[in-house]
Amino acid sequence: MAKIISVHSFRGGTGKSNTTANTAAILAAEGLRVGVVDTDIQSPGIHVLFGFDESDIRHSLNDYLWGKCAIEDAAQNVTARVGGAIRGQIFLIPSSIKAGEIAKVLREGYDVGLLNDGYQRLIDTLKLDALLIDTHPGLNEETLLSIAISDALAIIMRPDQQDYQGTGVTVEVARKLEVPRLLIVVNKVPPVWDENEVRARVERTYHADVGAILFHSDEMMTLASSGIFSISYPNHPMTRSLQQLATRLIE
Amino acid sequence: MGTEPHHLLLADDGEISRTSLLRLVESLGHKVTRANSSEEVFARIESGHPDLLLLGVRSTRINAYQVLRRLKSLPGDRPPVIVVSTPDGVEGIAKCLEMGAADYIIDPLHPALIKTRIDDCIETQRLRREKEQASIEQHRTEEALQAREKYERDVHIGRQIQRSFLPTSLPRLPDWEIAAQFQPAREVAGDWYDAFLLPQVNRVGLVIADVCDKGVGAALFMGLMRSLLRAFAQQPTSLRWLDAIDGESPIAHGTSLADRRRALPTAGTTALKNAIEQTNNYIAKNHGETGMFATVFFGILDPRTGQLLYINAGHERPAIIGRDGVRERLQPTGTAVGMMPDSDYSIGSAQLYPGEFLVTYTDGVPEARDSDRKFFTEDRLLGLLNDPPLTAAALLDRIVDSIRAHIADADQYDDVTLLAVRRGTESLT
Repeated sequence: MAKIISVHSFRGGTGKSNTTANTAAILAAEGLRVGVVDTDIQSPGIHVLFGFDESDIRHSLNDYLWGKCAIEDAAQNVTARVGGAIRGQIFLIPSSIKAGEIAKVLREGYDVGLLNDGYQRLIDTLKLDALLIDTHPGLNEETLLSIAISDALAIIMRPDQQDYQGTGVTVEVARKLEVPRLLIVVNKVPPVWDENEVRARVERTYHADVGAILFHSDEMMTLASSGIFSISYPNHPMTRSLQQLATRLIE
Repeated sequence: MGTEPHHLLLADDGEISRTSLLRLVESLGHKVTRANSSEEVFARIESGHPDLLLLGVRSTRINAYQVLRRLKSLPGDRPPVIVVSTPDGVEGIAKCLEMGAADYIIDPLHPALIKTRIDDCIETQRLRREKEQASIEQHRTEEALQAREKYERDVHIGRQIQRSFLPTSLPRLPDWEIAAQFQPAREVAGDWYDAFLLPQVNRVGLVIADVCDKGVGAALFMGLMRSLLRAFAQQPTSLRWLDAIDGESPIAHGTSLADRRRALPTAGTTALKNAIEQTNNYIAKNHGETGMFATVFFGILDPRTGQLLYINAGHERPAIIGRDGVRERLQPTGTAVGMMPDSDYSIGSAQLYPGEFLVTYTDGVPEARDSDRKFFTEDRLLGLLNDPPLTAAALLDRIVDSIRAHIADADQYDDVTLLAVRRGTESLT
């Protein structure tokens, strides 16, 4: 049975897409067939991490949502672009990065039910073991639908007062939607902080499991989304944390 | 020459009453009543309705001019007046004739002439009355004719309204056939069918519905509801299921993740829900006092897979026809649209396999009546669906021909409306 995993954060800039891409790469490296859907239609970005640019996108998720193609037609096999030793496969379903197409979504909307059908169809046609959904920050219809159908949800936050409050909202919603597995990822933690203390504080605040504590990393900053961290730095402590997170999300 | 007996009122207290005139009139067989004063004249007119008033011009206690003046002002039917005078009262007679008296008699006069005068006067009055009556009747007939014309015009307008809301053409899809039949009733009713593309979800909307009333009002409601259904079906966004988030209960408590996934929106379910629920609430909340509602079947077909999602809001159960006849009936999933605000509608799902038909119809089909008021019946309809012909259009022709033969020369009481879809067999090969 394929697992559907949503990655969400209440606010933007938390490292949501990075966490999604790394989780995908780690799972694929272990031999899984992994799909990644960028449902952040209003501000897409994860394609950059997979070395994709506008000219590489033949069909996007937008085309599927407007009935122009089947969802599997928008899936791109990006395994080779990721590099590293990957035994499995990674398929990316990118969102359009054309301003006009983003505007069209905002203007006309789309039938969110198509996402539910589309996820299932991707799992069937691409024979996926895992489907990762990179969501739009905040709460909107497609994000809530994605959370509601997920086997596991990773909520990314920074140790910041604004993130603390917002994460509380997502945790509450996820509980109402009865997501079977809920993990909080604390990202960009200042290296001088104590990991156990951060973990204890977050768990106490939300009564939820912490999936990973990721410290601020100069290597990550240097990489600047030009590649996937766990592939570029396979022996980095952060990669180990990300591997543990991926294992807990898929189990 | 016999004289029909009439009732004459003789108003005079002078010489005439003593003359032979009175005896003569009585001898002609007429009933004569007498009045000796002006007041008595009008009392007797009111109580006895005389056919003729013989008015003595030279009476002492009766002023003939006053009587004539007052008589003119009486409402309703007034007796004609013959003034009677002796030869020396000719001037008075002339004035009386000016004031409306019908004729005069100068006493003494030959009995035959008196008889003729009286008979003529009464006959003239009778003819005048007849003419008036005929004119009133003609007026009434004209009014009735105008009302009839107005009604026919309203019926025509109502039917035009209804027609203008039916699709001018039906969607054409590879390997699918959509056909419709609409036979309007003699009186305007409120049936409609619709078929339109929902390009956002690559699906086809199929609607058949019946406003439960007759007349121009039903046609207007048909136009309103058809437009609302179409407009709301094009709105892709629904935050309805998010109620669970700000509400108390989880969206699907105690069920498995698989069950919850099924309960969440899939392609087309939002269009269905939006169309039916929002139209229902609009009609029930804004037009509740009219008591208008419609039974509606709204299906959303995925031409790629043959999957049909539907809401059946209290409508006649559509039939899916397979190789061996009727394979499935699509049961109601909610109440008629516009009946109750905030009604719940669940979504049904059916599958059309290659070569199969979906046949939808309104109650005008089973309830079509012959001249003995016998129904066409659902059984007879279902009988026609076995061993269907090759196309949906031919199947509907077969049904409509059979209904026409049943109704024969009886009045068609209700609209006969059908919408059928056939999936081609190409995908079999």
